Amino acid sequence: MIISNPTRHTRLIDENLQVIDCNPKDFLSFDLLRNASLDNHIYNSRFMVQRPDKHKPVLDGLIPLPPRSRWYYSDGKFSPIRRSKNLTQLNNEKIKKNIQKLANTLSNSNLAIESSGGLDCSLVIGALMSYQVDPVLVGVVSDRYEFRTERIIQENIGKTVSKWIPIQEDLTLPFSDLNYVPPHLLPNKSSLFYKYPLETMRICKKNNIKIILNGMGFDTILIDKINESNLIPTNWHPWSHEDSWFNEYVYRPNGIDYRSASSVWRIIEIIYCLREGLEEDPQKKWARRYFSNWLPLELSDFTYKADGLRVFISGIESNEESILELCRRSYSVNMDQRISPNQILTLITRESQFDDKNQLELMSRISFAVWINSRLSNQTFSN
Amino acid sequence: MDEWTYTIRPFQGSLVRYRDNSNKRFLKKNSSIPYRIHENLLVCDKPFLARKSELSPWKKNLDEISQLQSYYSTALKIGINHFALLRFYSALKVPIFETTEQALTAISYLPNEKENYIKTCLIRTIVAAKLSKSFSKNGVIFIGASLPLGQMHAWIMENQNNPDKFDRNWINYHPLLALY
Repeated sequence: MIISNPTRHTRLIDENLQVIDCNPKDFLSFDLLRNASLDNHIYNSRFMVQRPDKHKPVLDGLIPLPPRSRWYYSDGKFSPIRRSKNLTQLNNEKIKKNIQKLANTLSNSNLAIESSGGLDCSLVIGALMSYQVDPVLVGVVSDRYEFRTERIIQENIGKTVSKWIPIQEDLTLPFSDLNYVPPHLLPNKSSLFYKYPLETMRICKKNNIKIILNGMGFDTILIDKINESNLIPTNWHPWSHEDSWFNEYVYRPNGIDYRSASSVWRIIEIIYCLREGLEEDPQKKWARRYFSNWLPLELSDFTYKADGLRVFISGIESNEESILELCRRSYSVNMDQRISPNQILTLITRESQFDDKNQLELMSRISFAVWINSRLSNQTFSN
Repeated sequence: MDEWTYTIRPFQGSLVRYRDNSNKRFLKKNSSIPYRIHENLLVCDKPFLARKSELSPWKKNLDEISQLQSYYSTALKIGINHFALLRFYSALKVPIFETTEQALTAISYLPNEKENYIKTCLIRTIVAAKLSKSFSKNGVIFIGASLPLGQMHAWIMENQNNPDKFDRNWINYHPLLALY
């Protein structure tokens, strides 16, 4: 049986495989929130995208279908259906035409690109600019020492476009304004970064931007090993390259489309063809070399990446009180001890150990509390 | 963060911060730093200027690894809490390897080194400096901190390059102490 979600928002399916198209405000009842499973949310948080084949239900019997995805269901298992195009048939000429088509489409849009100073978004900017697209650049600029290279790249690229709008890091720290997160269908750790898309969206709106491209998902297509014995690349799906939470709950309600450039099928095809036969490339050396004409020197010769951990910790420290208050409210609905303010405080204190597992646990628990709180803050329950 | 001055005590190896005006004295004292430190500090500040290694890869040599093991074990026994002693130990050169890159590659073959990679940065750099010929001419050990968290890291820069190909983390740390 084939189940698809052609829409641009996440849908739920129930045990009878009925697709539920619902508004979180109306759908999330007190009972659903009270019985929601934190354990399953912690499990699901290990994956970037909430997908039915790797999902344990947070809401009893309900499983998410990502936007623009198709699934084959058999014997109680979901498997993604990939686009039927033969990925190996593109030659150089077709590749160039494909990029040109894409550039033509985007040059007629009110387009912005996120500029973080990293490889992925700089590559998108460089590629489009080489085809005479002049995007607005928007991005967070950090004064922190570890982001010194990114800062230089942002400034240099910023000089080459007509408009570059930097956002100060203090305005977008993770864990900020969590009390204002809108109600959402399922808990999602992206909600902890709410302030970042919110500030970017405000700037885009002010500048009449309709599409904003980001560099998410290139970690997959520029790093994965591509050969016959490895099935991962043939499983590259446009929907799996982006975290749709920002789009569904921040950008689209404000008339802006937030897209990952790596979720554009033409780009997936191109990268697949160019990298076919190559080994895993964790430092993206191939991309730095192959696309060096589109990249600033600081990126083509440089393979280090600044660590965002200190930004994460600053966010927690600056918002500790509001996090605890939000957890107190959510704990009054879902009585899982692990979201009680005391236990969250213990975990925040342990955060100083910089352990990945600890971080994921903390993000899962707080995003679970944010999810419940978002529903509590927005409407009173009828029951 | 800006109001604090951070430094690492050269004999204890501990990170301290203070609010007085001593930073001016610090800057004056270091106004003519040796060229070797200066050129490598420049790369710490602008890591994308780092030179690429042009050395041929070290071929695994069990004799060298066996010798290395004993020096490494001794450094581990001294331990990071005896920073001055570790410095002294490093200064007693036993140049087994031509280059620091070779020494660090050989260290990566030691048992448990990869698993404890983050914790052993100081021991690794001290032993590599001790056993490398090229370090004596061109190398500098930097000890830095991630501010304001206070997490510390040690790494080597040699000929404007970090010779440790496994160290992806050094760019996140402010260099505060240079040993050479």
